[in-house]
Amino acid sequence: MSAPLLEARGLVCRFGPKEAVKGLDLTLNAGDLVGLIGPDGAGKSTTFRMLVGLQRPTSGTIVRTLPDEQVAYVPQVFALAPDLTVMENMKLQAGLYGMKGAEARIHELLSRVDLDRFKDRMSGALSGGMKQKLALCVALLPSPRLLLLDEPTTGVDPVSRREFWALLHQIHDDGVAILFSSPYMDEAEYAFRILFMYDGHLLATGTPESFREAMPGVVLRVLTRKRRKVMANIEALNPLDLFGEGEQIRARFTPQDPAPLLDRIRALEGVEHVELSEATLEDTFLHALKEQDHATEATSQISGDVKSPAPAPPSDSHGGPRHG
Amino acid sequence: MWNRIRALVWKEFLQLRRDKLTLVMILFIPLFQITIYGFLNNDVKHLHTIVLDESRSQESRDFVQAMSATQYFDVQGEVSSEAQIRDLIDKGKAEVAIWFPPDYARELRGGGTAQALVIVDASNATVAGTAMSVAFGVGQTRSTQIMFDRMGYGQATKPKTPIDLRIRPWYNPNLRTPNFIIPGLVAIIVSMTCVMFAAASIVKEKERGTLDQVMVTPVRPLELFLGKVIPIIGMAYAQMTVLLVLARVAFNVPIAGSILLLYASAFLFIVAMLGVGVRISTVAQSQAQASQMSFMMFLPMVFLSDYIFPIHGMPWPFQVISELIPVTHFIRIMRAIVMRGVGLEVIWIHAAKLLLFIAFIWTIAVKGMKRAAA
Repeated sequence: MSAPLLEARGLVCRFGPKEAVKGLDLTLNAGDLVGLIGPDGAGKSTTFRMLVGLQRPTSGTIVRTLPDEQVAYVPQVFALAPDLTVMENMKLQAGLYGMKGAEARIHELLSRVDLDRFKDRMSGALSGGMKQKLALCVALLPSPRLLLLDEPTTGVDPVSRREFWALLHQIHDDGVAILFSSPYMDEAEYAFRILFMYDGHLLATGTPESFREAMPGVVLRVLTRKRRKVMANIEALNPLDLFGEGEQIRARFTPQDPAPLLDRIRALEGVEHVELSEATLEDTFLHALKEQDHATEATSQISGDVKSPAPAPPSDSHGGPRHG
Repeated sequence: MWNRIRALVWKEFLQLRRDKLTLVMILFIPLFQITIYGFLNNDVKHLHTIVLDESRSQESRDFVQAMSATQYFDVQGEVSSEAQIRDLIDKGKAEVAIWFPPDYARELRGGGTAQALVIVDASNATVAGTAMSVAFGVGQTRSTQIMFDRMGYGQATKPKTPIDLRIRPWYNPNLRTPNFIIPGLVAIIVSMTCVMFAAASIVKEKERGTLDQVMVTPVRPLELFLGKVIPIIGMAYAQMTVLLVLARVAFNVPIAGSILLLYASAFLFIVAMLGVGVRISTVAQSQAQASQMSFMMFLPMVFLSDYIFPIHGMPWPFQVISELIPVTHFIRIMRAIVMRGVGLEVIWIHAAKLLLFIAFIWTIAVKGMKRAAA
């Protein structure tokens, strides 16, 4: 197997007393399409900035086997000059990469994302979706082998998002390895490999399929305003997992026939609404989060220190899912 | 390397071309300032003068005539009381009053000492200073003349004055204000351009996040930096050229020395001021902060640089500050080359001080940049 395109080990990034990234391991290989999924504040952008050299890690190592020219990065915010036209931004990028005769490549890329007809429009005047497409074109101009996209669809309308993901898969099919981040659980489905990130470390890693396989059965999503009481009642039904947050409780069962179970739960006092489906990636994430909380509590009880840090994050692997 | 720098410079010029407000600032502020300062006249002449002549004599009229002949005093009319003098000066209608008491002529004719009073509105110190010294000179000349008459000397036998004091104002014989002010103005405007644009253009990119996009390309920090400052250096030289051409053509300011030396020493000054701008950009978090900090830098530049106020009359701490300001040294270089036409043998000391400042400011600017990048 060829050497990884990028390998990060034990990445830590501190801003004063705040530890934004807490010992992250990450490997990116040729052909990868990896999603770094986690809520705002999980440390995704800081991780990206460290990977592309915009942020120096407090500790840890990053080894890139690719030259700088072959690693492209699209930051979370639109970072192209808004007062230059689409074409001027492309030409600037070509100039920065020392590309001569880049016109054909520029037209090819712009045509591919249907931006050719907007080539004379100021970049700042483009819609959110078009801005992201332009940022992508600019990143792809020097034909990179690794593309890092930090929340590429944040602030983009649903139609443009779908188009964007289709485009990204095309780019991946062309042989470009991709790491993207997203706060949206549904976008994890677009990845071939998922890294769930929370509070500066990886909660779980795996493929979408492996995550689903690791959570067989059905998940009942129960809406209630009497959380504690309803949870106690569901717990009495011996679910495989019981997790969730706020007014939504999620319980996983493996019943032969889910209908009676559904009726029993609907009948519980305080239950306002119940939905049943297979486990989603969001369920996987919340479950992993609960597992981590339990582990943290256990560690705290053992050490007697309630402020003890979260357990060591799992290392990124290609095997089945690993729940922290 | 140069391809990348060329791409960055091209980008800066495109952005500048579209930033109408900035373009107006670059072009019109120097034109506006040179027009104002070019027509500004610091010569205190034609002061509004009133006369209270209680002597009503030929002698008092002779004295008024002598005062008017200097062109410093324009007699507006006579008044009849001290109260009227106060009223007209209070209202700003007169700046000088000449008061002859009733016995002025009688004392002169009788060989005594006649008194005359010149009252000056000293609320403007420059006006007062000039008016007092000219009036004193007129009084002394008239006294000498009258003394010779009393001693019986005729025009032919009049003795020679023991000291023949002659004054030659070198380099600016007509004491023209534009000759003095415009070289300083060039320094001030160039410094404003360098500090404000260096600070604002870097902070603007930080604010927009557009610096990140460039930093992840193969562009090296030095190339990025050169791409930013080369357009500013170009702008500064363009402004300097426009100002010097205008000074020469429109305001007849002679440029006595080497233009090449002027432009070469301007490079040191521009690099020094760019250092100040870059340092500000590493501290300021927003464009508003950057312009406030730049503005704070201009106050000492204007007031403590010998630009308008002579520094030698100021308390020593201000003189020390003045020596530390690069504008002071560039103004001295400008005046030395433009007005006195001297060369490196004179300006080298100021060039050396600019080099010292460059070493200092760039050390802390680069430290600031490294800290910001860490």
